[in-house]
Amino acid sequence: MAEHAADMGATVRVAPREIHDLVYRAARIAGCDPGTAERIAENVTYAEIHHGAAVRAFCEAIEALDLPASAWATAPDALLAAEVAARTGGRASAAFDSPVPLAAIAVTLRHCLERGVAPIGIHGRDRGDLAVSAVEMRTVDQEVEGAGGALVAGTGRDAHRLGVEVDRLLFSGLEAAAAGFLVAEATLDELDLDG
Amino acid sequence: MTTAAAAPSQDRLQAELDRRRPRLRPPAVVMQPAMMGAARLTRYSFSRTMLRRAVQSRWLARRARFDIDDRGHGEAVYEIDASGHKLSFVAFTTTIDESEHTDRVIAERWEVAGALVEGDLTGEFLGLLRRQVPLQEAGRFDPRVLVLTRGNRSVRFFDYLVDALSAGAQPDPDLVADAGYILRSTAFYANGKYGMRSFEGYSEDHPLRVPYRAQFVCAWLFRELGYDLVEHCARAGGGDAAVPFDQRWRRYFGLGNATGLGLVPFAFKHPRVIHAWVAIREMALADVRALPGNRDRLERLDEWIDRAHSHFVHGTDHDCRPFLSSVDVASVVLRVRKAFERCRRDPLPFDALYRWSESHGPETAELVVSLLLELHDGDDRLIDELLTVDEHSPLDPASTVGRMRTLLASRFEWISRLDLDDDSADAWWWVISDNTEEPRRARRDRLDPACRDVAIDVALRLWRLRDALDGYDDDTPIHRVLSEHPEHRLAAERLALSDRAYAEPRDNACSTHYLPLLLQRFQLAMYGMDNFKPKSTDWLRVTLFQGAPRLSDFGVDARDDWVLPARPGSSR
Repeated sequence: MAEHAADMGATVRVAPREIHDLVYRAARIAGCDPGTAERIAENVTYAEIHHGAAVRAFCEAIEALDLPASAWATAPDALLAAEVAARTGGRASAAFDSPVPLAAIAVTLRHCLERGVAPIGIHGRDRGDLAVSAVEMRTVDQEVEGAGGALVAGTGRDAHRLGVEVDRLLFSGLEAAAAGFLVAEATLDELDLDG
Repeated sequence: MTTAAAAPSQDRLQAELDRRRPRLRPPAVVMQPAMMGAARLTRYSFSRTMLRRAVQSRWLARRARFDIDDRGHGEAVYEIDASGHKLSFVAFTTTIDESEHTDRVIAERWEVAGALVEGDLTGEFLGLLRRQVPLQEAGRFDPRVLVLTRGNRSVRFFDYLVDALSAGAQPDPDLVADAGYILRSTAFYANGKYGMRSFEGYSEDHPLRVPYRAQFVCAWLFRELGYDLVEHCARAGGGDAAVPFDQRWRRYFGLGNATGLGLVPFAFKHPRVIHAWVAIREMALADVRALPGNRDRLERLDEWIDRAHSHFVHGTDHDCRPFLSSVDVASVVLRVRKAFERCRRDPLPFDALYRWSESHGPETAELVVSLLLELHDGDDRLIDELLTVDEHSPLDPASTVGRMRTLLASRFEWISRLDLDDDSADAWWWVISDNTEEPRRARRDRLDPACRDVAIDVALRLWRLRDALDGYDDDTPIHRVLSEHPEHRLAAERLALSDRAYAEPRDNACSTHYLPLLLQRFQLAMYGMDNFKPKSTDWLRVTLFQGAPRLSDFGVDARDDWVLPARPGSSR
């Protein structure tokens, strides 16, 4: 709550879906198609929970970049292409046109891992704003992955149970960036009246 | 509802369906808009499963606080001990001018604002609720808060009921007419909205870790508050002359609800959830249709048919199009009764009755389904498990275009019958209003979406994906197609996710001909709502928990035969 002790300072505690919904809307307004916006939202939400600094990275991106043409939209595709190549060749790499924050690819990497392909050199302790210019990928032992998956699930549950601390100003910025997705009630009422 | 633990239950649901496969109704019948729009509450609607599970688990409930003045203004707290979890429904009540009453979710003031919370209700927590809950969407909450709700008194009946009781009389059945409620709610926010607890934040063994369980606990206590407010105000006005509701009336009223377009996007966005809802009903129907007709079962169905007739015949004949009025439903019940007389000596009488109903239109068929399901005796614990589904199913980037074509043909062949190339198929888009984020529709020729559309145009997107795939060889991996055409990503991912028989409402939400009421009714019936009263093509009023046990009945008289109550003492 607004007056809750945790929310009186520089941070605000939010539910994961709030991050997801706001990032999705902001990405749409920035010109992304629904599928790409959804993927960006999933990446940022996952990265904020597991790595932190993801909302910050996204807010900086929508200020500075043409989002649909940026690596935020395209880097996951490069990763998926590398994953498919690694599944047949054992190893492959994805290089991005420009460095992309881990926040833009975190859940995509997770999905690759679930299918048996892991990134080399990217770790759970890395922050969401870590700049990544290329990712080396290799097939992995599913049993090793299983143990890691349990840890990730635990962190996710805590985030859903307790919420996620996000910088208050950044969250306000995100809300402002997403607000354009909504259409004024008065406009809709006018359309209804006009038939 | 997206959990790894949900995956085994999803497999279990599929196994249960596979076991009954020859007797299941096909998706081509069940998922047709007209059939979905005729759905009725059943034994497995969420209001009923919530109450059954609460009784089975020996939950304890009490009114803990009632600081309400003579006008009905103040605070009330209801507590539930749910298998060791302390839940409280905290309500703040006032009155507003009649002119400020609206069913729209966008209203700014409410006569009742409430929240279901978990944990100790300390002075600090109560103080925060006192300030934040009346603000509703403008408030800020934390994970101790599970559900946020609000509503108003019935303008037509609240004061009448108070006056009657304060004068020492019970309501006049003919004046109460079709009123099925005292308070009418308009929203039950939960699952992470405004900082509240996420569904996934409930531990594996939490009693509210079942879809919509928290909302229905909240709604049931909201209904209890309505009774308490009326009786309290009656006592305040009538003093010693006042009486409480008598045995005939003390369960009759439910909670009203007004529902707009917000339900529609949910149904199009959650195919595996919709599948689970429908599959559970279809499993139960298949089981009942396979039952032979022994005396007990035949008599029980006779009783339910009589009960349905008594309930509906006391309603009104007001225009409820596209649905039937209550009195018209009563006529259908009479036809069902006659048909059942003819079927009862059949070796499989319930199957024979269903087969008869199917040829008499969706309203008849779904009424018969709801009646037949009263004979089913499923395992509620299992049903709870089956409702929790895994919505996580990322598209395999190595899938080939050939595989996608095959999936399109097997999972979405029905879209070819929707005339999706016609201009009328893409006439509307779905939008979120800036006022409390209410979903609405706008005509494409009147307002440019400009990237603000809510992407529930499932049929159109799949249709366009089908065309786009024409330019590729069967061996092309889908990730290559999507990197060249990201606009088809959503459709390709939906194709992967939509892997269950009853996942998709077979309709196009963007068509000129689309009627939201049909899908709204389907969802409301699944929740356990009844008395569908459309107020336009886009919104309707309903009632829930009408006839349900009260707080004081908990653990004493909690039989599951409370639906379809007859209006007390009706002259008809």
